[in-house]
Amino acid sequence: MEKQSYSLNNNIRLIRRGKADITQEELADKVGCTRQTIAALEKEVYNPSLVLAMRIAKVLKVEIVDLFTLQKTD
Amino acid sequence: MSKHMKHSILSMSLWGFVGILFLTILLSTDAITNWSDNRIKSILLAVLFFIGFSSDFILKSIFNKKRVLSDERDQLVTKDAATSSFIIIVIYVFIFLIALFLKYETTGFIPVGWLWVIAYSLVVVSNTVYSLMTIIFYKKRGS
Repeated sequence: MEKQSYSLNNNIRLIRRGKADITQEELADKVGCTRQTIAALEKEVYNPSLVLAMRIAKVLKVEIVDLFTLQKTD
Repeated sequence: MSKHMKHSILSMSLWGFVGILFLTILLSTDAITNWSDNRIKSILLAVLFFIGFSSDFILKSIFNKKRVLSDERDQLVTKDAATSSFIIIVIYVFIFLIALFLKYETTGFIPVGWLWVIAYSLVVVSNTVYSLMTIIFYKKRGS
C-alpha cells in the first residue's frame, strides 16, 4: 500500500476576521488557549487537538469541515 | 512571544552563564587532577551553583503555571523538549564517559575530580539543552 502524506489547512483567519469579526485574543479567551496558539494555528505551523478544533468551530459558529481541510502533499 | 518562550530564553541565558563560569573555574591549571586539594575552587563552584539554582527558582516562581496560562501547544512543546533533551543528555554522558575511558585507558585510573565535572556539568547541560529545545520547538510551532 502506498503511503500518503497529508497536511491540515484551515480557514480560521478568514472566518475570524470575516463572519465572526473577533480578534485573536478574543478567540483565544473564548476557546481557552493562548493568543500565540491561535496565531500558530492561523500560520498553519501547529495542528490543534480535536477538542480545540471543535471548540474553535463552536465559537466561530461554523461546521468543523468548513474550518479545516485535509490536503494531500507530494 | 509567549511567556513560556521568554522563560526558556532567560533560563538558557542563566545556565549558559553558569556554564561559562563553571568551565572557567575547571579549565584553570590542574583544577581537575588536584580537585580534592582545591577547597577554594570547590567553594566557588558551590556558590556558583547556589546562585544558579536560586535564580532558576525565582524564574520558575515568576513564570509559574498558575500565573501564566498554559495550553495544549505549550504542553506538547514541553513534552517534545523533555524527550529530545533526554536523548541529548544520554548521548552527552555516553560520549563523556567514552572519552574519559580513552584518555585514561593506559594509566588505569581516573582522577576523582572528573566525577565532580560530570555531576556539575550534567546540571548545566540538562538545563541549557532543555531550554534550548523548548525554544527550538516553540520556533517550529509558532513562538
